[in-house]
Amino acid sequence: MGIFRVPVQPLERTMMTELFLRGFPWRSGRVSGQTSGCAGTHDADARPDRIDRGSTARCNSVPLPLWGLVLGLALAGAPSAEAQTCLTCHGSADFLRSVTGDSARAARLTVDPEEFRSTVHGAMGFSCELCHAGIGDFPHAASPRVACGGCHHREKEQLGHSVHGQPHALTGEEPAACIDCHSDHHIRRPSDPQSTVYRLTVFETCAVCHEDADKMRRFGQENVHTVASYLNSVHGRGLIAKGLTVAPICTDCHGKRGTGAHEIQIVPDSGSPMHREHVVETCGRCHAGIMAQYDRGLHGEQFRAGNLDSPTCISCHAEHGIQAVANPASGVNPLHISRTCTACHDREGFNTKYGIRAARGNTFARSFHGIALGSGQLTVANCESCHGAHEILPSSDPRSMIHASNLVATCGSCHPGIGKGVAQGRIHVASFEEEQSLVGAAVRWFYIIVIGVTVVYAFGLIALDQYRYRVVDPRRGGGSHA
Amino acid sequence: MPEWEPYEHDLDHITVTRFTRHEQIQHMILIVSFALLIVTGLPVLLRTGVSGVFSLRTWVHHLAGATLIVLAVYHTFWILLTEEGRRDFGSVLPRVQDLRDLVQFVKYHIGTTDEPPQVDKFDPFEKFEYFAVVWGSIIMIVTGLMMWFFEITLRVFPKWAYDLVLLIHGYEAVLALLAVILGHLYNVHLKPGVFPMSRVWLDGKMTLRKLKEHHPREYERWLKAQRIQRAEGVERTS
Repeated sequence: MGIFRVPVQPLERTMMTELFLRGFPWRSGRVSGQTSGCAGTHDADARPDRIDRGSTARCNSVPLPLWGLVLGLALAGAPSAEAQTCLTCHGSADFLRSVTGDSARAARLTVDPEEFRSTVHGAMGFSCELCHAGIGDFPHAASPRVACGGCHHREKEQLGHSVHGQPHALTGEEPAACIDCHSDHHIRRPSDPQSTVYRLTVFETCAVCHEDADKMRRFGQENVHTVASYLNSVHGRGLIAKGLTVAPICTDCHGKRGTGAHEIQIVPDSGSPMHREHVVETCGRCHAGIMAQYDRGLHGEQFRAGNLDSPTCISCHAEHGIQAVANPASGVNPLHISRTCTACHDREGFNTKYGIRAARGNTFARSFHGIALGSGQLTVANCESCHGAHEILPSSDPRSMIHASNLVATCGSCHPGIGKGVAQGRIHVASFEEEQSLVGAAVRWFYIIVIGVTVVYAFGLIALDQYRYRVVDPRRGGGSHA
Repeated sequence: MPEWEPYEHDLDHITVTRFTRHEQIQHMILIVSFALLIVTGLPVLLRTGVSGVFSLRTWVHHLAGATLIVLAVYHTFWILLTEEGRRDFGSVLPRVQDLRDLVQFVKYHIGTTDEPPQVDKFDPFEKFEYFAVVWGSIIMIVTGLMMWFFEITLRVFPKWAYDLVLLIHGYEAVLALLAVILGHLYNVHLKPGVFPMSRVWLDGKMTLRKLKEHHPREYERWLKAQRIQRAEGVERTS
């Protein structure tokens, strides 16, 4: 195992002796872009800080027999001498900047020994060469890649199944490597608040790429507001405003159960926990009681039967931007829920397909409840008040809130003492013709005729009066009565 | 001795009481409650609602409805218990003479006769209007109460019958509104000679000239009463 090669001759060399032996780059007149000296070693393409893609760093996956070696290394203190050698150059950002002429690159190459010792790897006394295997003496060998997977086998394998582990089919660009999430020399346990993957702050790490419009476009992802809308959601606010570690984070929903962040797949992939087949279970991990209700309802029953028309959690509740029902931004807020339900239930052909009466949204909007709700009176009934939220059942089902035998109780929850007559007749009254109510149609026509006659009568009198006033007797003002 | 007759120029100065204080107050309460009921009811009928103040709207509608109910009860007792109530209700009841007045009214207006209809205190249209208000109020109060206390209504009636109640309440409201706008608004505001407004509703007074023109029979009765009064006065002084 090359990475565990301990330097045979740990030399104590100062920065100046090093430079003396290698030749001072500034003597050549060019600092960077040269093929010899420091600048040649630190040329733009050679990036010793690059870490091998395809693995991550989690100590608990280091195979057991290696632990002895790891501990041995730590106790022997051997790496410290080697590290001291590396730090000759890599401990000084100023020096690296003067050599590379690139402060960003210099910062990347700089390692703070104090800080490193507080990281998970540094605390165990890992030598530089443990990861940067084959970096060799100075000048370094050309870009040896850091292979996290050498120790973190399981994570490497998991990442191989993840969208983050797949280079882009056309450009070959790699989406995310271990260091993109875990950092290079600052790797800490996920439970450490300073970790880049700490629960309360991991969204920042995800956002680095997922809020980057250019990068996301290169990978065919147009939505770059997922993290922002998540932060504004009830989940995001739970995390940030309330500081809840139980609030779901990106990887809770997008990572596979048990493997967390390493097996993130795109939603259309059937392996994704957010895929239509799994999204209910994924939400149900936390919202188990709601999932049970959903399963008892018609929507859940149809979903389990494989009906693609049936809504899942996100059909009504939105995804990243999910909000509490009381929040007016929620699609299931009393103000908007009728639009959310009628997105399907007033869709062309949908209601006929399932034998549901048409114009559910319109008949509600025209009802007293609908008018009051439209005026901002939130206490009146909306779809959910009568039909239920997750355990929605057709009125023919005796368990349904709107089954005739349950209507007195359902309506009575707002209107105590309501009579049983409420079950004799329809609630969503479309029109009397449609409801085939002869009496209703008769009453309507009676009034249309009476109103028509009244209008004719009134205009007739006005016309008669005006005729007398203008034609018969223009000299006199006034009609016959006052 | 020639029969007493007011001087021509006095016709514009002498007024008679057409509506008593009681009737004026009833009319004003009717105006306010009717206007409030229309303003707070029509938005619901037109399915527009009243943004932000819907429950206030309902509250005002109920209050105005309750006022109308109180007025209806008050009016009924006024008719039954007071002499002026009984007298005026008597004169608003339809008679055969109304049919003759109606024919005469049409003839007079199309110009086939110069003889105006011999109207008493109320002409046929005023009588019709009164009973239209009575009928409309009964319908609106009954259906309105059924809607106000729909929980109880539904203990007696099925939902489909309740739907009819809603329907009737809405159509009757339209009918009332149109009758008021088209009929009453013209007769007491826009009509030539009345414009901008008949002032009878404010003080209940009408000049003798108007009375003589529009309500000749009522004028005759007033004249007769005056003559008797004068004759008695003469008898007393002699």
